[in-house]
Amino acid sequence: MQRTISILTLALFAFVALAKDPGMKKGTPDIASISVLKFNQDGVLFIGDSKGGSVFAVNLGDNEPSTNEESLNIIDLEDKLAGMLGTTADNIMIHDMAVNPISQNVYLSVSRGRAKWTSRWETPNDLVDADILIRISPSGEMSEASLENVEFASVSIPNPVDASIEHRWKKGAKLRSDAITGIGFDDGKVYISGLSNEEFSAALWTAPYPFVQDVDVNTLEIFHGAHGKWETASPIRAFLPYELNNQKKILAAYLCTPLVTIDAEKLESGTHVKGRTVAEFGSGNYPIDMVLYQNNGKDYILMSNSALPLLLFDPQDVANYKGEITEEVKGYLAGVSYTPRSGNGVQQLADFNKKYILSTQRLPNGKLALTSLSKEWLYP
Amino acid sequence: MKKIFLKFIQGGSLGLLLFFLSLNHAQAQSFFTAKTLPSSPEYGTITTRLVPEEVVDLINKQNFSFEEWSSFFYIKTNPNAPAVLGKYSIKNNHLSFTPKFLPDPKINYFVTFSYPKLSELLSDAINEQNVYSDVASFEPPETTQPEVISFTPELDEVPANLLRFYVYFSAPMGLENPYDFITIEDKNGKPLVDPFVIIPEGLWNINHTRLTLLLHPGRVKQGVGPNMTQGDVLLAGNSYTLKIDKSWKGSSGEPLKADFSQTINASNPLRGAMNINIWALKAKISNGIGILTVITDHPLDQPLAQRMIFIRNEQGQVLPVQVTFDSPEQLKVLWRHQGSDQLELLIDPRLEDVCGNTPHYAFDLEGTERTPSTEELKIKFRVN
Repeated sequence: MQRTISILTLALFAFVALAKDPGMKKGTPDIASISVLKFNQDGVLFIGDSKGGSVFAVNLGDNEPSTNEESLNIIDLEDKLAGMLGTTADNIMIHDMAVNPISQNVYLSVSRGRAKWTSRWETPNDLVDADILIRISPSGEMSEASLENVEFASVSIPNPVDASIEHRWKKGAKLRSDAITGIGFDDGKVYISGLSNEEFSAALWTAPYPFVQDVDVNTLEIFHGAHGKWETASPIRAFLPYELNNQKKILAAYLCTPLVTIDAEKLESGTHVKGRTVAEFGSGNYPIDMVLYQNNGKDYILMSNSALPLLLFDPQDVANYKGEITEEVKGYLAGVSYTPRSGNGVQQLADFNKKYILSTQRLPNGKLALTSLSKEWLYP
Repeated sequence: MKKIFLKFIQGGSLGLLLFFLSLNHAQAQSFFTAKTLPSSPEYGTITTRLVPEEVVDLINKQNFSFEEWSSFFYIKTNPNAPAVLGKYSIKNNHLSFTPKFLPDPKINYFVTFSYPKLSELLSDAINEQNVYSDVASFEPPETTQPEVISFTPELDEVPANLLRFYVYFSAPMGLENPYDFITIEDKNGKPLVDPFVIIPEGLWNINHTRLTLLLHPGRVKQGVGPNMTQGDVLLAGNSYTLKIDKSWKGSSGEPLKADFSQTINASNPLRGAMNINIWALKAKISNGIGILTVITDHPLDQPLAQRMIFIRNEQGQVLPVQVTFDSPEQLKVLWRHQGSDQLELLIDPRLEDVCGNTPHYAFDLEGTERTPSTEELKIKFRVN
């Protein structure tokens, strides 16, 4: 019996290996900025390159399955990264984090650029391009993940926001740093959020995977309750494809902090789409990451923020919410409610393993730690 | 010797590291050269001195990963940090490390090359046991014209059997032959013939900012061949002038800002071993910092003393120290004071005075074997 299982397991891994893009070529991808990281279920790393206006699918050869259920904590993550990058911790900046669901290896896109930080509104990608990928094993060993001589495929996003356009109110920042703000997967599709050069610049691109050079684009419009107006220039900051009431939706969070559902089944190429604002989570904040996880067999979504606490909401509450926010919200809170969770200073989030969600967290002592949040304790 | 290494490695503190360095740094020349100027196309690269060809051949046969390379040749931002990422290469029997990112001028980089660690990777195929370590720092983008900023020993009169001068520069100097630009003239302005041991490219620290001028020991030591044929370099009672020509270029390609000259008055030779038993020690605590003032019987070789003098507490821990000099015969040892007031001043037996005399040996003692003694030298003291 055990032998049969082993053979089946090998066959499954062989399938996983074959499930990678047959169009991949071996070489060194020409990535200008490692702006966004996301793994698909097969362990292929997708890298959003805002500066280059492309998304790369990279096979890092990291396909050793792990059944680890332990937590991972590194109390002085920035110090260790600083040592590796030959600088001091106050100059280290983590742009994004992703976990390979096959191996549980953690990947960070990193730069030496935090010393340039001057405004709470600046995102890491506003300041400098992430230019190194760091791998952390489930046991905490850190190394560089080389992007030289790897299997990869890429797709260009059509008409990304022009590299010369200054941000309207972030001094010195270019809109191009938001050309790609997030990546998500559903049913053979890769969703890419960001800013385009279209009249309504907030955009959601949809690319089939394996990649072909046929990428659909939809421009987006949402009602921002805290601002009391319809907006088209602000990009999605964090999103998840999710099925609500048997309909495929994009659950998207924006600056200052509306939560919006976008009907994924009605995304016809080239159309302008209006999202339905279902919540206002608070002002003066940008969402950083959203993670879907299960507690006692039930789905929840955890969201990290620049200036709000770690917040948790039940997607069923979104499904049950019948209204739409179309008028100015006084007090910045409306619609679907959330549960604030302890986790002040949590920045990056990624699903780690069966029991834990991984986070980077700025601790009261000023250090940035890699910490594990127990799913068992994350419920409303 | 290996046992001594292990004893101190286990402590893991910076002080231990420094003690560890001292065991391998009796010579003033660093084992490493760093490209410290932003104008250099190899800015940030750190290169070892010559590694034996047979060792290089063994390395070349391996295809070392970064993790393997960095197990024996590594650069760290502090002793407990992971190794700085970068690439390793071999050229003309020199091993080089080029960091992935440009160096940060604000910080010091701890550089180590460990033959024992390399031997482990090569299945103990090499016998060399030395571990070389140094600290490198890098210049910020704006560089200035170099100039001589100090000269030691700072003595009104130097013993006529002086062995070394040190010249300090404000910025890294180039690889031109230093001896083409440096002369010692007698009181009549006549240059002395062959006063220095000529070492190609000179004896430099890792940053190429401190040059060691080694006066010809065969002429300094009495009764040996060169002394018999060429005579002493310096004669007691005479004055000399050491001159450095401003046409000498720094690493940036810019010449020295000005000519440099230093009068050297030679006094009676200092022959005989140092006697640490007559050193005067006085210690105090100020704002948690221990300050030990030591008056020595001989003017010390300052760069060596800064690497070879330590403090040990009652628990046997070697503490990180800073050694500064009021004069070549009076130094201060500073440490962060905690715990017991009973301490020991540790002195590496290879410490030398300015004439090459150690606590065990007189440089000039005929027939003395100068095998370094491993006997521990210590002076107990108490802080008040």
